[in-house]
Amino acid sequence: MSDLYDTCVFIDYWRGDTGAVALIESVRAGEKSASYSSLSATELWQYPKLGRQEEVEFVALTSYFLQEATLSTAAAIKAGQWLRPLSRSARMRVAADALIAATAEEREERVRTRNLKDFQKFYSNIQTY
Amino acid sequence: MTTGTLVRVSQSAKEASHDKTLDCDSRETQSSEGRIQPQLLDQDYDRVQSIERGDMYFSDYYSFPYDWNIQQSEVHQPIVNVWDTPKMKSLLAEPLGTPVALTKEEATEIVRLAAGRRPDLPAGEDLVKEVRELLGHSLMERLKRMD
Repeated sequence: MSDLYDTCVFIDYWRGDTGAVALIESVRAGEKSASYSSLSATELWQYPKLGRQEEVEFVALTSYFLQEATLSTAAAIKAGQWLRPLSRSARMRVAADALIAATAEEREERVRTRNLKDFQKFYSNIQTY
Repeated sequence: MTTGTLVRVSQSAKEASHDKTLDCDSRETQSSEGRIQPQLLDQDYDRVQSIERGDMYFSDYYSFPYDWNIQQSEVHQPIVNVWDTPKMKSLLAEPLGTPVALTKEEATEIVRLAAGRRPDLPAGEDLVKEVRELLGHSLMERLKRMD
């Protein structure tokens, strides 16, 4: 089964977290396929501590080793329906999780994340690393 | 007899030739991997003896022909960090958002070297919670304005 790597995988790879390094190394070695949500790019590049070198590294990783999982209208509708019963503050907190989970569900991929709690509200096919 | 310039070759080739370079009169064969397998004949030992006695110069008899096809990987070359190349220095000097084009070899090396390069960053889980809430807030504010 293919995986969709959540934003935290990129950060933890830069930090040297052994679980994240194993995930990235497996795609770099061609042992498995994985994707990332284009929303992750927005989340990463609003963070001011990431600079040009991290940008080049991100391009290196996403040009050859990870597939881009774009947000489709169908997945956006699904995420909206998941969010509907939640309180306003809860919707604010988990809107991005819902969009990423809906993208993974549409692609029939497992989400690899350290943020299990919020994803579990919508999607069961998740695994930590 | 002497046919060309002396060329440095890898340790494996040197070991195979007892750390001596050989001349080209058809005494080398190729293994199944394409590696050169020099063969020392009796007269080579005589030459070695002569060199050790100082009767002749090493380079008089032990040299490679110009056209001996030495594999690139066999030649000693310094290992260059991908970030030390002029292309990468130029890429890094460009502002954030400038398009980046990389070969697969460059990308492979860049990704390998990126692991653990920023231990100063907060845990991914914490950072994502922070930025995700901001993103969610922004999305909800936008939806509120659309009501």
